Order: sequence, then C-alpha cells, then structure tokens
Amino acid sequence: MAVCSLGFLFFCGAAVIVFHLAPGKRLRQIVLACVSLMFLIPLVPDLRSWIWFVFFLGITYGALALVRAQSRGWIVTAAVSLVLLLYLYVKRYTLLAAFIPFPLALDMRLHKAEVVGLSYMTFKFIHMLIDQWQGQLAPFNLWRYLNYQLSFFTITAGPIQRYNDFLKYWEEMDLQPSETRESLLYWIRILTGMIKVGLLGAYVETALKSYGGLWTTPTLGSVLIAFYAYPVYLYFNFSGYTDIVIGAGGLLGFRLPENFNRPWLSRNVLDFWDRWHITLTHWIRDYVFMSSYKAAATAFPRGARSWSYTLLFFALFVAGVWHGTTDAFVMFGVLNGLGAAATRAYGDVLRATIGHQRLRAYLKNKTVRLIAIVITLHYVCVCQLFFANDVDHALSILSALGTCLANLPAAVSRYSWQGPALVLVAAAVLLTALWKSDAAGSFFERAGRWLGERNGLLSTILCAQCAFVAGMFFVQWAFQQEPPPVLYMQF
Amino acid sequence: MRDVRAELQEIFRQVFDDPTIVLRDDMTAADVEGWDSVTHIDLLIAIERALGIKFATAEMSRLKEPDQNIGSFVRLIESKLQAG
Repeated sequence: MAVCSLGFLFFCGAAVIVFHLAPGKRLRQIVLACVSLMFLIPLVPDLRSWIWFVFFLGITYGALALVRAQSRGWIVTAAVSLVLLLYLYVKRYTLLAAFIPFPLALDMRLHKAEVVGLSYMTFKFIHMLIDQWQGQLAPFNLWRYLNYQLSFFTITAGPIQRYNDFLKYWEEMDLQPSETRESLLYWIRILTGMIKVGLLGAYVETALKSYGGLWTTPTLGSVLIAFYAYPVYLYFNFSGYTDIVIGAGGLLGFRLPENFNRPWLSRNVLDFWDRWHITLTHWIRDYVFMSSYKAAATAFPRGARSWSYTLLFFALFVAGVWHGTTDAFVMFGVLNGLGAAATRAYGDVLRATIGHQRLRAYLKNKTVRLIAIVITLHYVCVCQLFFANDVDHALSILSALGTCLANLPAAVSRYSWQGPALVLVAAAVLLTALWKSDAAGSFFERAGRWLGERNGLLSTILCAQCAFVAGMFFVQWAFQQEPPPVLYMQF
Repeated sequence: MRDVRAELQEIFRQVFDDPTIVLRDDMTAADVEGWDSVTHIDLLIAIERALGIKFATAEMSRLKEPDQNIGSFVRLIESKLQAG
C-alpha cells in the first residue's frame, strides 16, 4: 500500500477508530498487530518472499533467545555475522555472489525474494542483540518482538525506533485516547507529509525528469536543475513519508523519533548526517562508530586520533553503501566518509592552531557559519548526484556544470539584464534567509506553539489541508497517475 | 564518600584540554566546545579508566541525547559505582 494515497488515509482512519474503540491494552495490541499485518500483506509479493520473512524473523528471534539464555560474546558475533551475510545475500550485493559459490537452486539471482523492510529489521535486530548482551534491553518475547519488527509505521523505511522506547508505548496502550489538540496535530502532520510526497516532491521530480535528464546540449538551467533538484526531491519525499508515519504512529499512541532537523542548515558533513535520516545516523554512530572507536582507542591510545578519522570514514561509508549495491553508492559512501573525516581533521587543526577561546569565537561568527552552510549544501548536492545517477551520468553532470560555470560570463552577456538580475535576487534572498535562519526558526517554533494551543485554528488548517489533499488525489485519479512511491522503501 | 563531580570535572578538563571548564548539572554536550561523538568516547574511556566502571553501548548512546545533561551523567556514574 502506497503511504501517499487515499487508501492509506482511509486505512489510518479505520485503524484509529477501531484502536480507540477497543477496550484495554490486550485488545488494542491485537488491533495494532492486525493493522500491521494488513499493511504488510500487499507488500509481500509471493510465497518465496513470505518464507524468507518467516526464516529471517525465526533465526533472529532464536539468536536473541540464545543470547538471553547464554550471554556470550562469540554467540553475538556469530549471530551478527550470519544476519549480515544473509542481508548482503538477499539484497543481492553482486560482489558477494561472485565470491561465494551458492548452489544454483539457492542462488538469489535466479530466485529473487522481496523482503520488505529487511534493512530496518536488521538494524533493529542488531541493536536488540547487543543491548541484550550488555544487559540493557527491556524484557522481550516472541509476540513483542514480532510487533516491534513488523509495526506498520516503521517497517518499510523507518524511523528506527529503539526497542525499549517501543515497549514503553506498547505497554501503555490502555491509557486514555490522546486529547483533541494532539490528534489534530497528528492528522495535520499526516496531511503535511502527503502534500510533501504527493505534490512538492512529485513536482520537483517532474522538473528533474523534464529538464535535468540526459541532454544533447546542456544549458546552465538544465544543469542547475540536475544538480540542485534531486536533493530537494529526496527531502520532500523522505521527510514527507516520515511525517506521515510519525502522525500515524502518534494517533495510535506511539511517539516515534524524528528523522529530520533542518538538514539544509548543516555547517559540515557530520552536522548534516546529524540532521538527515537521524535515526539511521544515530544507529551507525552507536553500533558501528562508537563501539569500534572505543575498542580501537582503548587498545591503541596513542593512535586514537588516526583511528577516529579512519573509523569516521568507515561509518559514513557504511551509511552510503547501505543505500545500494552499485558502484555509484560506493562513490556516495566514499564522498560522505571523506567529508566526515575531513570535518573532524579540520576541527582538530583549528583547535591546535588557534586554541579554544578563538575557536569558540570562530564557531559563533555568523559569516563563517553562512560560508560553512553554503559549502556543505553544495558538497551534499555533489554526494547526492551519485545517489541519484550512475557514476558516468553523475560525472557528466559535474563536467557540464564546470563547463557552464567557466562560460558563465559569456553566457550572461548574451542575456538581457532580467535573467541575471533574477538569479542575483534569488541568490540574495536565499543568503538572507540563511543569514536569518536562527531568527526564522525560532519565529516558526513560537508560531507553531501559538497555533498548537488553539483547537479552532488547528481544525481550520486541517479542513483546508483535507480539501487540498482531496484535490491532489482527485487529479491523480482523473489523470490515472500512480501514487508517488517513497524512495526509501526500496532500501 | 567519593566526590564524583570533582573527579568528573578534572577528567573533562583533561579530555577537552580546557582548564576553564566548570561543570554544572544543567550543562549539555552543546555547552562544551568540541563535545562530538569522538570526544564523547574519549571522555567515556577516561572515566572508565579513572573510576573503574564500564559503559554499555546503549548508555553511551543515551548520554548523547539532547535531554541528557551533566546531572544525569553524574547520577549514572554514581549508580554504577554503587552497584560495584
């Protein structure tokens, strides 16, 4: 079921009504389990995929139960390795298939299985296993485990909720329904997400396909669209999806973690990943970077700094390669890893050369911040070229961009004054917006709080959104368009 | 009784190479210049060595959350010291 569709909206509405009519915790848990199953069924295409699903959930639960019974490090290592190999195999990392001679009958290249949410289930399982081993995991059983893994608002593309947080809400289901104001805010969040995915994201994607695709003679405009539009599309698509599931989860009593925090205001690559797909970054920070860096810095204290650069590179490389199996994603991972390591190295050099006091002043300087934001924005756009295209096409866009910029003075002189003036005004507005971003952010936060306290206004906004979204779905239906897919559901 | 706060302050000053740091309960990672994921681990390793305790991955992660502060950090350390 597409999350940006009228069907999903009715599905959510029906789920919320049945959920809140159910008396008591047990019944509500059963309702939620049924809702998750109904959401999952259309996403699993065939019997083979179901078998993989059951197999994956079976062996991961078995590993967890084993570690609960015998808390041994080697069992944890073996289980994580096995699940990672399985993950690489099912995700068809062709590199692995070239090295491991699977019997033909088992070869995934011949018998493909679609295991929806495999990445997110793997993340959740590894987190549970390590926390269980270290005595930090809340009690679990098969019923809770299955509901945690298959919960419909996190299975397809996150956000990655930690088990202890999930359990807290799972056990509080007998509480009274949330107040009207909260429900209105969650419905507004769902509809905002649908507008982001179905209208804004879809519009930018159309522009990208129309003007930013392959060209015979690239113009500055088409190259700029190819360079800037994809990150915008991805942001609307993925943050819109996140809004929808956070709203749906909230209506059913689950407070899901946020996945975005104004990513375009990041001042370096590390900051960007702390604001974009936050739950994935934090998972990688906790279970890849922190664990490996702690082991390395404890074993080799003198080489800790070198290890920090290497392991930061590795962590962001993993974040990149996780997205896909092609060489373009390897490039995406390498660029992000290099950006992260360089950010850390630059900070260390500054600290060593100008000292703490001046570094504090440097970091607070608004001009420095603005320059850092603009550089990061462009670096992220370069990285995402490899996310969106194959390596050759990404390089051709970069090459065309270089050519267009080199010919810019000649190109501008051919235009009348209106075109360049428009570009300059747009750039000035953008830079002013960035310059005033803190003030604007706090203004919107205050406005949001003010609005959030007024049920009448919230109802009006919700009604306007309903009308708008109804129009959007009507256009989709009239022109027989498919609901726009959520890109991250394929990872 | 052990003065965890004073010991912690000394460790902070060494790890962040800043002798002016004075810890307050309401301080968060954002208030200490240079407190990123790398120095966070350096800090935890220094605390583990100095106080003879161990942090689990989930605890290391939780201490980086925005709602955590020095006060909650001190309480976690004290509870670990009491547990032995």
